[in-house]
Amino acid sequence: MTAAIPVFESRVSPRFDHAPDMLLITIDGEKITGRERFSMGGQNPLARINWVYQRGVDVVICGGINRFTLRSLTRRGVRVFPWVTGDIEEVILLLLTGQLRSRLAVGPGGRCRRWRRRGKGEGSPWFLG
Amino acid sequence: MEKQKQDRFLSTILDSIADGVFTVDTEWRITSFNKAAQQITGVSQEDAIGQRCSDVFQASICQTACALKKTIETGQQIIDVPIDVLNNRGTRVPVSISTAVLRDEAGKVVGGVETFRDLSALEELKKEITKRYTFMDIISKNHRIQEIFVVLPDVAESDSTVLIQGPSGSGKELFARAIHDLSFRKEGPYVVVSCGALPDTLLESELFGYIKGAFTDAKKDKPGRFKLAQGGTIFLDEIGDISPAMQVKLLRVLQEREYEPLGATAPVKADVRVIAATNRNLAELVEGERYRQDLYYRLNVVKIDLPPLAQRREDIPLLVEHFVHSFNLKKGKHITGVSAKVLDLLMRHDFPGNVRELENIIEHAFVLCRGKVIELEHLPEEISGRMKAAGIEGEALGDPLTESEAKVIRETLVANAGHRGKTARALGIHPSTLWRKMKRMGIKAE
Repeated sequence: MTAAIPVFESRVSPRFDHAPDMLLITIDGEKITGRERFSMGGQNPLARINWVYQRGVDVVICGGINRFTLRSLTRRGVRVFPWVTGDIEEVILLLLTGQLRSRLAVGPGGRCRRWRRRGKGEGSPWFLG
Repeated sequence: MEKQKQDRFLSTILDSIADGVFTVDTEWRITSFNKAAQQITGVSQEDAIGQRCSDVFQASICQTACALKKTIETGQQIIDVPIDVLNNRGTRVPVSISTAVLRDEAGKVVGGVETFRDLSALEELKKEITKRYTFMDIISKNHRIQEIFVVLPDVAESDSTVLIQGPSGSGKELFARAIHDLSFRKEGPYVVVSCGALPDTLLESELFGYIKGAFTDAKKDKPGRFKLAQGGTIFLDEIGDISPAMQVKLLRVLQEREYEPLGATAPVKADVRVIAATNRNLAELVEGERYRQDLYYRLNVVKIDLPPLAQRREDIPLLVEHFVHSFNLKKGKHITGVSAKVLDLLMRHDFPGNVRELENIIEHAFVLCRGKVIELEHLPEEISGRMKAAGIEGEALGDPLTESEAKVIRETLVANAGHRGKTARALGIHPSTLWRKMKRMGIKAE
């Protein structure tokens, strides 16, 4: 499985479309077999979506993501865990152990809580990772 | 107890503010988050407190140009910077932010405060106005262009030959493209030929193509632009510049709907709609016997006359906004617009190159502008130089109407050898009114 995480310093980037870097990891079972960080500076959202397709990414873990980008990715069979915040390593650990969910605020030591969002978007299907 | 009471009081004040307000500590953790902030971001106060502001705010500048970080580092306030955030539904919300530093009683920095105003309603209003003045890709609120907008769908549907006349850079190709896109041929090809750019022999082979062996270098068949446009539209630009010999050949296509590729022995049927354009006055060329009358009539089935930009000055602010938006997308910049002085100067410029010239001016400014607003120094030298040449300096720039009035007064004074009485009579105003106006505008009779 290949997973892509838009990153900012050592954290999941708050925005998919503005992340300076993209971390690409390949996973075999519960082990990471490859890991590379790519610079995405200045690339527009469409170029970022294409980047994900071209590298055969199965899973995207990101912070804020707009509807268009989310739909574009999920329609092409990419599984997206949106609205995830926190340290990259903690997030990857949750992914490896099958505990990762969308809308997750990941704290130190892997302590998590779900983002409870107000308004009409609460529980909309497109949120589900 | 007293502290709790104070906090409640502060919270009540913050919640009564219509703008979103949040504060952070020096670790970028949110320490307060008012009601409006919850409404704009869709994140509850309970969830937001203690989280990093970038995780909650998800603004376009969080990672590259954090305004709060800049304020805390420099102590400088930031006021009304337009950015966008994502709300809980993944929808982009345009906001304008302001930031300030928070200090304790000893003056030590303890964090920052950011306020943000939802600009969605304002943007919607802007969009509505733009929509009203936009037709396909053409933007105008000029009454002459608006009249063309009304008839354009009928023109497109008719499949008739169209002649578009207008000065260079006035947008003739945009109209041609709009007609094609609105016609039943829209799924077919749209082929552009700039007739003035090619010599006669080349133009003929370019338009009609040739058959293998038609001339020494014709090693294989080459389809012409009419063939490539089969089932669609051909846009013949600079049609006023073609030679008399080409005029005859083109006339045949328009009359018979057929043409002969070079070296061919039989004519080929042309199922192509012709849209022609020129910056010359074809009627005058016909009168001067430099253009075939019969071709002119064939081309002039439906005629669209485009005014120069100088005659549709009301479109300049709309076009400026459009080009700023489009260059922002192309060049990945976040320029918000032009300063009042720049717009003032553009409103007075004659634009001999029309809309294309305006587009080039904005593109030039985009190269030099590193801030949010295009200023006079970002304009090309020949444009900003005109301001100095006209004796108009910085703050002295007034409204265009006053400038036009001053110009008329100066010209009438010159025509009357500086005689104020005669000038006033010629202008139909009282001499004392003229004197007052001259004094206000700094005009001297010489």
